[in-house]
Amino acid sequence: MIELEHVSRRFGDQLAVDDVSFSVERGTITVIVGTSGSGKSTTLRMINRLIEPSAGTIRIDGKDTASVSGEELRRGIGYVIQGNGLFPHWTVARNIATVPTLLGWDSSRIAKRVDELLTLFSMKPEEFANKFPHQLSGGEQQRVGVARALAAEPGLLLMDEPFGALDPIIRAKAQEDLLAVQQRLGITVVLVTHDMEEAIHLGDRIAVMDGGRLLQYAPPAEILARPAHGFVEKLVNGADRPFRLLSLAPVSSIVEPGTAEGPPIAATATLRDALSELLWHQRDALPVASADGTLVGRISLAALRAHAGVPA
Amino acid sequence: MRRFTPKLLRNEREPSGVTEASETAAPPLTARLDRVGIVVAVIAIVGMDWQSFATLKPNRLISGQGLSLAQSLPTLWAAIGIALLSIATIVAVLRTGALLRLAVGIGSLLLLAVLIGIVPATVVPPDNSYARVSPAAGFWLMAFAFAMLTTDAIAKLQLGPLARLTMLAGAAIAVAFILGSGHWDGLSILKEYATNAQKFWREGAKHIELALGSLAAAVVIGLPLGIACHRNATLRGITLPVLNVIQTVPSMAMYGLMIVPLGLLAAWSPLAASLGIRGIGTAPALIALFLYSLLPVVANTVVGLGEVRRSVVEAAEGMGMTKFQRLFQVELPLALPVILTGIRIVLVQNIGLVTIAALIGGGGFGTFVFQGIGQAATDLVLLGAVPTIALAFTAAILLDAAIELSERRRL
Repeated sequence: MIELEHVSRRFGDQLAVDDVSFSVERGTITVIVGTSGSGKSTTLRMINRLIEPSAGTIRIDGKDTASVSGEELRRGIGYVIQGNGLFPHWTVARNIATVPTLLGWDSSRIAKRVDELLTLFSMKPEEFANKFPHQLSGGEQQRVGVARALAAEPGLLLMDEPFGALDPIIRAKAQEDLLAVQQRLGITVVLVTHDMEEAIHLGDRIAVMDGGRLLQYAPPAEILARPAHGFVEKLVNGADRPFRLLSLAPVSSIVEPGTAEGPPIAATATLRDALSELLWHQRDALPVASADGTLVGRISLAALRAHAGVPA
Repeated sequence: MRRFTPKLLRNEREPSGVTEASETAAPPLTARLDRVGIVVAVIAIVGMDWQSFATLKPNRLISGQGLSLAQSLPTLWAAIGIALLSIATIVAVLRTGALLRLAVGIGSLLLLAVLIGIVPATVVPPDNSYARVSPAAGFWLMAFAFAMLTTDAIAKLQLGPLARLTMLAGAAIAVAFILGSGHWDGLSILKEYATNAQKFWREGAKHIELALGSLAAAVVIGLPLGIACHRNATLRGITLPVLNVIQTVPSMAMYGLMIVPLGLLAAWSPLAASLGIRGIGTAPALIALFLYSLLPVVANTVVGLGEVRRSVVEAAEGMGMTKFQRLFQVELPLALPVILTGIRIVLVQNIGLVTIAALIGGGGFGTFVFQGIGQAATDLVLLGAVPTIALAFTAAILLDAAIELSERRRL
């Protein structure tokens, strides 16, 4: 659990972060979204004290971050930045071993951990451990960057535009990897992005910032359905707002009893996928199948419509 | 670039259907000539046919008489020499494989080394111990031309740093072998060496001591200063201009400037005097060289650290490295190639500048140069100049290899 209480940061006479308070539940992904200069990166960097707050308190699991040294604090928190920041003169294995080495782990434990992490990110240890960063593709570099941040088994991972430098296909894959790893390890993630799409896709909660202020802090569905007046509205009120909303829930959430003609839809698919199938097959309803293939009910266009927006 | 041009042209022509004609026709003459080779050939031909190969002097001070290749060697050797060097020139001028060019270049240099050693016995009567034989313009021009052919071939082969170091060691062994065999003992420069042998090694050691000592001092002071300048813009704004101004002071003036303050220091402080600090001698030479060395070391440290990617430094900080860990594990290793480049500049520059330190009694190979100028004995000047050039050359090759090795792992 991370708690920010009335945190501000001043650079000269400019207020970069202005009285921001929010708390992050353990084991969730929180995305801070905003344009450049919104104070989102500054907020993130105050959590691991790369930037010291000018005012306010930050607590991690109830403990004030100011009570330990910055270096000690940072060694316990994973950190991933845009362009990955891998050390070009070190091998992949040594890069991943950075924090464990700083913490003084013995070498056999470090070697074991490096193998474990490379395997977790589906990179064969014998193939990748001794490569140098410039011998890797962009996607591989990004994965090594995340593996390095997770090396010392931190409970908290901070990510500053981690996917910003990737092309769209690798980016989507990296996002799925992150979700899978986060669920598997149960870690808390705070991620900064300027991309609302990414925020909605990854975030359990989204913090929208502008001009140093926190404008709204809510789950993605609420941000879409009831955006705070002004900047947040402008940010989410696009033509694809209903589709974004539909993409947040699975078919199983609005499945209704009964049957329908046509190819069945998986219960785990998103409502957006279901809408797409209904439109494509020109039907008002389609059957829904569970993972083992048994039909569990049907999904209708009317139910989707009721879920895709708010009445004017 | 040049090598790909014909291929490109061919590809462009293919669709138009004139491929056949353009491929069967012999390429124009200029396409079969090597551009560097033409320069090599012109210099070698001028050296062989229009300049004297060796100079014969009645004694070491009187100016002598130039001898052509044919005049300075026995007929057979002259014929072999002219034939082989002519063939080498033809190989150089045609576009030939890099390995062949390398072999021809090295072979020609060895041939020249052998030929010049034969001259004294040919032109000087055995009972005449005053006459002196030295290499003349023709020899030097040919040596220069074929050295150029050799280095060009090495560049074309794109040899790695270790291969280049091996070649340097080979060259050193070859020179040592020829010197050890006594083949060159008849040459004037080695006669000068024979009378100065003890002094030669003493001054050589002094030369290296001055060059390396000032470099070491510059690294010990300059590296921390460079790191401080990297972190502090104000300090950088003051330090670099000051060092720039020092760099522009001519070396003669710099040595002169040292005399007065150090002389006064020695006069006032018995401690300084007992340490050997005087207005002239080693101390002012060392200090002047140190001052010249500071700018390249400091400036390259600042540039090298500045070139380390921002994201890499931030990642190091974000993972909990302390300032020292960041500096020694990340920033300095990544800046190393640039810092080494600064050290290379300093070392090569210092090896040259030490020569002038002889003027104020600093010692080194310059002693022979100025002594030789004073006596109008050209060969004594060479006894100081040739080893200096060889030292600078060796230092440059060694450090270039070190820089390349340190660069290998850098993105």
